[in-house]
Amino acid sequence: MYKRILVPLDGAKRSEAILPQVESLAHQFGASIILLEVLEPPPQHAAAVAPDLLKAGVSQRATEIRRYVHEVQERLTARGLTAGAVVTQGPVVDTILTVAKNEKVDLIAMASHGYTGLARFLHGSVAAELLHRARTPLLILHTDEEEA
Amino acid sequence: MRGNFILGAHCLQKNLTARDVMRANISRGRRMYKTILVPLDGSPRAETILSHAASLAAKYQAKLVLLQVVEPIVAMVTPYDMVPYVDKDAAERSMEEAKSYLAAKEGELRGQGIEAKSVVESGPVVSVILDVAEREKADLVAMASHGRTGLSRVFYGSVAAGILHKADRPLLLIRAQD
Repeated sequence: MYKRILVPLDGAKRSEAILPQVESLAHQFGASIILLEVLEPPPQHAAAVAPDLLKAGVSQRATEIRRYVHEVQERLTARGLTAGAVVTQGPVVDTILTVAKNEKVDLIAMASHGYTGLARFLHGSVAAELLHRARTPLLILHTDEEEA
Repeated sequence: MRGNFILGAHCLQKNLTARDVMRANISRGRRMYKTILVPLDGSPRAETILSHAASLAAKYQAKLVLLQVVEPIVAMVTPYDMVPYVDKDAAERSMEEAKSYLAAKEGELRGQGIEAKSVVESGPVVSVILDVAEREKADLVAMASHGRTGLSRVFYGSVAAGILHKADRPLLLIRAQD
């Protein structure tokens, strides 16, 4: 039923809350896992203010994120799972859907409300928008808002 | 830079040691899902979740709880006063319909060797689904969004959305194809 599971992460530890279920499903169904971290493009006006600083910031953030995703990936591989990782830039929902299509995934599994504050709300809306647009089943776990 | 610009894509596949396999067995989560709640509304679209739920139930030896929520039919305008009334006969009829519908689905699942039970409740859909999930100790709620056509499709979509925002347990949601 599930052979390729896409797991969008958001860099926050909370978004890993979905992983125990993903691991269990991957074992049960013999599925491979594709971790995805989407870097949102910086606001366009930011480039006008301090282009060099922005460039440095973006590339530093990208490096950190890549390191993080690969850490998670190695943890999964160490447990005998097949896991890949994709770090890519673009609008979140569109990118998740594109990667889901390219990687031919049959399940998207994610924690909702991975961030605190405003971004948390936005991340919640990622799940809601995916619900309306994704053709693949979604496995969603709400992380506790009080603890976030 | 705009667009889907790949910064890095790596696919590692390590050779496994016996210890890795042992560790994997421990974390395998064989009983991750014990009870799966499956809200249905009588429509074929809502039923598209059943194959997913059944497949999970088979893998995890989980029990399926099929739920149909019958909303009380309230007449908004009554001839003699402004007090809304509930059509009890109609409500009972829809409860009976729901019961026999779920009993049929339950039978199909049992035929596949899956443990299933049916629950019919009346009340506001989203909160009843959440209450039953709590009561039955469901560790997964699995449902299709857009369970009906026409106006109520919008409504049913919002049930999935309502569950999405309020549920305190994992959800498996699929968008039923148009």
